[in-house]
Amino acid sequence: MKKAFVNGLVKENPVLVALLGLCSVLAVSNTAINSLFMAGSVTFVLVFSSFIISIIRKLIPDQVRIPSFIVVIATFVTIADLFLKAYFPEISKNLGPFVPLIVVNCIILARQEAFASKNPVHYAVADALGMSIGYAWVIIVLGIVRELLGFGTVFGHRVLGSWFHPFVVMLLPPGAFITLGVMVGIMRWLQAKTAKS
Amino acid sequence: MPKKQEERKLLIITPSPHIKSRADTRKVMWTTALSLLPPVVAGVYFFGFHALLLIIVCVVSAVASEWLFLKARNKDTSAAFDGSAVITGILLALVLPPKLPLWMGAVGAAFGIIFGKQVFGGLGYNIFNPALIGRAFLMAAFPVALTTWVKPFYWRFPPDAITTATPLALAKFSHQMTPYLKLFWGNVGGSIGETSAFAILIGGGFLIARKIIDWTLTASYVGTVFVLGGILWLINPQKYPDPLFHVLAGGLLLGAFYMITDLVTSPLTRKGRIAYGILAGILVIIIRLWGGYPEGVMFSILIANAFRPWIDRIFVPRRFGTGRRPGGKR
Amino acid sequence: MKVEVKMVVVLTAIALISGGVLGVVYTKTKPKIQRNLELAKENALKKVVANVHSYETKDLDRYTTVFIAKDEAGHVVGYGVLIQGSGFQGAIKLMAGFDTTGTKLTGLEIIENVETPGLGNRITEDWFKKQFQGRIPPINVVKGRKPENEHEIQAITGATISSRSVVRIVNLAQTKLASVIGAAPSPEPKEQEPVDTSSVSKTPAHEEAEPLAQRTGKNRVRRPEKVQAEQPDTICLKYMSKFVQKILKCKRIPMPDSLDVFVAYGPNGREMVGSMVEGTGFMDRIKLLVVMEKPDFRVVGIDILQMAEGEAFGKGQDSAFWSQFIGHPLPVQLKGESETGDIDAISGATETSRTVIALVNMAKVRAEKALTTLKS
Repeated sequence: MKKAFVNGLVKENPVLVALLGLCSVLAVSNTAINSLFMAGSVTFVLVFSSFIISIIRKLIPDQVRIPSFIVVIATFVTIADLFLKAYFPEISKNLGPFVPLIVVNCIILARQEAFASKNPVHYAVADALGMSIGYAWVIIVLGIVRELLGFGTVFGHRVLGSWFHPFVVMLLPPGAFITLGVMVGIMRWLQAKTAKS
Repeated sequence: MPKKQEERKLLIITPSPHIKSRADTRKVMWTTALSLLPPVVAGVYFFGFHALLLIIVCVVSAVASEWLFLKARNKDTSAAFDGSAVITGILLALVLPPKLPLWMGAVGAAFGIIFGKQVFGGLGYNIFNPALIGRAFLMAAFPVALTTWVKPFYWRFPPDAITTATPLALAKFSHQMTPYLKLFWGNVGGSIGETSAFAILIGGGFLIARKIIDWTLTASYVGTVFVLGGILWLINPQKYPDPLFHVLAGGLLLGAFYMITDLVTSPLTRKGRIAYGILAGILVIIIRLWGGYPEGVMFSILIANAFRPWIDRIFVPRRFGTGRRPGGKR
Repeated sequence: MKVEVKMVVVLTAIALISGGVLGVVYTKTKPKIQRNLELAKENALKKVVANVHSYETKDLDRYTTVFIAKDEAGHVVGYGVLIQGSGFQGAIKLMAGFDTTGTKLTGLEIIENVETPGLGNRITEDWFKKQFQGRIPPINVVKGRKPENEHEIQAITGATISSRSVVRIVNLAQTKLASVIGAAPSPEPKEQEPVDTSSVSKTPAHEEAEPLAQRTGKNRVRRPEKVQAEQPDTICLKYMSKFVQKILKCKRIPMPDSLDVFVAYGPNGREMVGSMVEGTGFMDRIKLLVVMEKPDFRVVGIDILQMAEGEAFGKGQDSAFWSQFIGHPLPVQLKGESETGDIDAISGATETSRTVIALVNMAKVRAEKALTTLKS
């Protein structure tokens, strides 16, 4: 079970290695707090979906497995969206359509298909947690970098003084792509290094 | 241990050209750098000492970033001094506003070299013109600084009277024309190297005479802008500027001689280059007249860069030894 | 159980259960979500109108809602207009606060926008929003200098289009509000384009003299101003006799802004009105005297009192352009901008031409205003 959990953190990191779910990673990571809430939403959806699907996995006929997964995932996504709209309306406005779009986030469906539907509950949940945290640290790091260079703040607190001239581009799509590219590059380089040794 | 290459009896296949002259990479690069002297001198004449500093900073930053990157990747660092980084540095500075903070120029040069050239594999492997990549990054990162222009000889005016709009911006947003003579000599607002058509023509002419660049590419680029601009002007002279204005104002000439002709990012065949020039020329007109920016040269070349592999696939270089036509005439 | 049956049963079961769960969550959260939306609007209204105790809403169309703000006694204290329009990158939603007459702004709040961060996004900054307090639509955007009257606000450097979009939406809000409560917008010429003064010195107008002299190298065209000691009617005669041959009676109507209006009566009941107007051309101030004949205010003549010699490349003094106005009733429009255009712009100087047309049209408005004060 530990292996299932650790897997998603680095080795098979869904964003940096499998390059899944990039849309949401790039779109909402312009501030660290948005990244945090996005990561939270994805974790909620992934963990609960995996939990439910793993429990009922033996009941679902193979031919209707995809629709079944989607309905379950969509239910949890809607719950998350309604929750944010009710209790964190500002964040909900910032995240915009990207919370409902978690339904089509490849990471979630991929984990159901590859793992949750084929493994007992405790493994499924461990895997979901690992993948979620793997997603979370990437999007949060990206969010911190972009907010730092684009505003000079981190989680809203000013870190860089007034001498700093913000790089507007970091708040825009090109900045997101470039930073993510660098992160993927570093990941690949680390992987190549460990493969050699 | 593998045997020495000469001892192995192998058929070694290399692509053409097979006969190489003494004009190797280094020589081409440094000759090009020399040809940049007239625009540099004109730029410093009109925009002063800060412009000169900006050029120097960009060059130093470009060479240093290249050197550092090569060192970090354990590659031969002498490539940093082959002249190509120097050219990237000069070209970037020439398309920047004359009073841009020096550190911004340094950041742009480093970005252009690292993300526009080195991550792709270095000289010869880049898809996009590194100087323009640097400028595009600066445009996105510091949009206000990159669109703040000063008048020529601005030091003669009081500090809050030095800003101006470029001739293209004046034409587009305020419908005002600038006299041709001013545009030709360079006594207008704009980036350091783009204002003096006169200086660019001298430098560009030198490049053509040395056969370093293909004049048909420059001609097709400028020609397309002239023709297309002319057609639109004839249709509606009130709304559209005349073709001569298009040629003399903005960065078209600088781009036509120094950027679009970049050997690495332009097509292999002459026909391909003509098509490339036409494509870029159309884009310049579209962006200048209907886009959100007053100037379209930078984006036109970057977009054309992206199309270059496709153009090269359409206009395949002639294979020697297979065709029916005698001789190697292209 | 056969597979086909199982498929249907399982899917239906999953759908039913999910639907049920969602239904519960939805009902539980719905009131909170509704309240959040209303709170957001309420807060915006409170920020732009003072002393709001209660309010009434009225939906005008898809994009506009009017909030009638009332105090404890139920009296109307102001209006808020929630309106959506297009900005540079996407839609801008804002709440504009107006006074009880529905003509003057009391505040502005940007509710939603997707403008470029650090640039267009700066429309949400306090200094920008504060500018709108006390302004009277229609508003113009000026660049490179401070606003000089209550019809101007200063654009954000590098975000002219976003600034202009906000102003456009605010002007529209006022027009829509006026149609509901019956208040007319203040009579400023609507055609006056925001003038690009970024090529001219940033110092206020009266300090521009020196650098401009350096720029043009020549003296501006300037006729001597009238001397205050003279009798009003002599001044009137001096200006009006250029265009009106026989003057029986001439009266000068002093105006609060020192740009005079003159009325001259001729034989056969002819009544001519001349109004001075002043505005900013492309290079410098333009001052004109526009003489019109009632009742349709057709232009009899225009005297150029002040115009920079380099304005419109020297073609600003071309008689061909000015003679177009003669005989036209006001207001006139630039050709090419609408089907009923009357005036051809000076080639290559559309900006100047637009300014001149706006000034000439303004002459009629000023004349009308002056005549009503005369009657009272």
